[in-house]
Amino acid sequence: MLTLKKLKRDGFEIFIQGRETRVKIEVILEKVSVIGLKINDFPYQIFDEKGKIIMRGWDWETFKVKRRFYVIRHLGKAPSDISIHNSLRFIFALELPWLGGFLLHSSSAVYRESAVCFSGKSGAGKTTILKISRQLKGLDDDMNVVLYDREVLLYPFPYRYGVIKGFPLKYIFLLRKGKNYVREVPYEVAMTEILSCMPFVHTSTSLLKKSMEVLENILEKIKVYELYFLTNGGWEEKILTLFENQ
Amino acid sequence: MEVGKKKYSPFLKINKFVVWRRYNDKGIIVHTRKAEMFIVNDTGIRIIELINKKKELREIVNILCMEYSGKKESIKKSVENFINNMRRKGVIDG
Repeated sequence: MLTLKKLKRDGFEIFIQGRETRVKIEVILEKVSVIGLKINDFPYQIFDEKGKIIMRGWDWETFKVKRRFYVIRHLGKAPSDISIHNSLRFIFALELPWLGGFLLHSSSAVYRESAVCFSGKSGAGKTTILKISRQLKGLDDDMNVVLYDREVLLYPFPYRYGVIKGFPLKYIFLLRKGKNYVREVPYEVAMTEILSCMPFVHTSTSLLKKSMEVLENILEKIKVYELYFLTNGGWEEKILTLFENQ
Repeated sequence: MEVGKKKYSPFLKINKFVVWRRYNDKGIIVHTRKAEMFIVNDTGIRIIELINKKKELREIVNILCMEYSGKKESIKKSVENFINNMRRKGVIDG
């Protein structure tokens, strides 16, 4: 289970509790009157200030104080939703590899209590595929948490306070546009494409190394396919066939 | 090593912001600062491995001549091209 819990004082906690994983990440909100350098990119920019990685928006900034402890500084009365969502992505991306998982820019769906993930760059069809799906139940169309806890689990990204259930992840599909078919991809292609869809892992070499290690472990347990699909249907049967034949 | 008019040091080094891995006969090279990633073939990742073992260009060519079939001149040219390409991408210093 993945839980996002609001604290009585300003802040929230992230609990990840599985068979072997039991982790708490604390995030404190701090109202300040001044934020560092102005950013050039909306909605945020990543800074490396003397080895300290900072995510900074127009009126907020998020940084790691120590392992599993973060601060979100904000100018207004309360931080905006966009600052919270982006900070959460940043925190998950930095913490998950050390817990045996990663954050993946992808959409996800469930079929018979098992999850599948659709990965690809913007425009690849992550949202479209969920919209046109008839038999798969959509979970999240943008961001997902993949975590190894005796089995590979997928959690949709926690946008709200509450408890989120994880589903066993069976397949990752790399989306391609074309006539409906699936095919297994070479290992190095799976590695590079999935790595390129993990946000913020390039912010430090140690984080990237760890993320590669985690991905290698996860790729031993689940299969990665290229899914060529047309929006007028026919692709879903290819996925269901994989489930039937597993 | 000399390419055009520019002279390079024979001592090669992998950039400190680069992470690389071998997967069977392919390799993945990632430049964290540039957020760029490359897949290279068996020879490419072998060159990276040898640079990591602090081998000079001359030694790399000699080792590859023993490991792969081909004329020494041709192997040397391929190694130089690869190294120059990786220099331009910021993967190799020196």
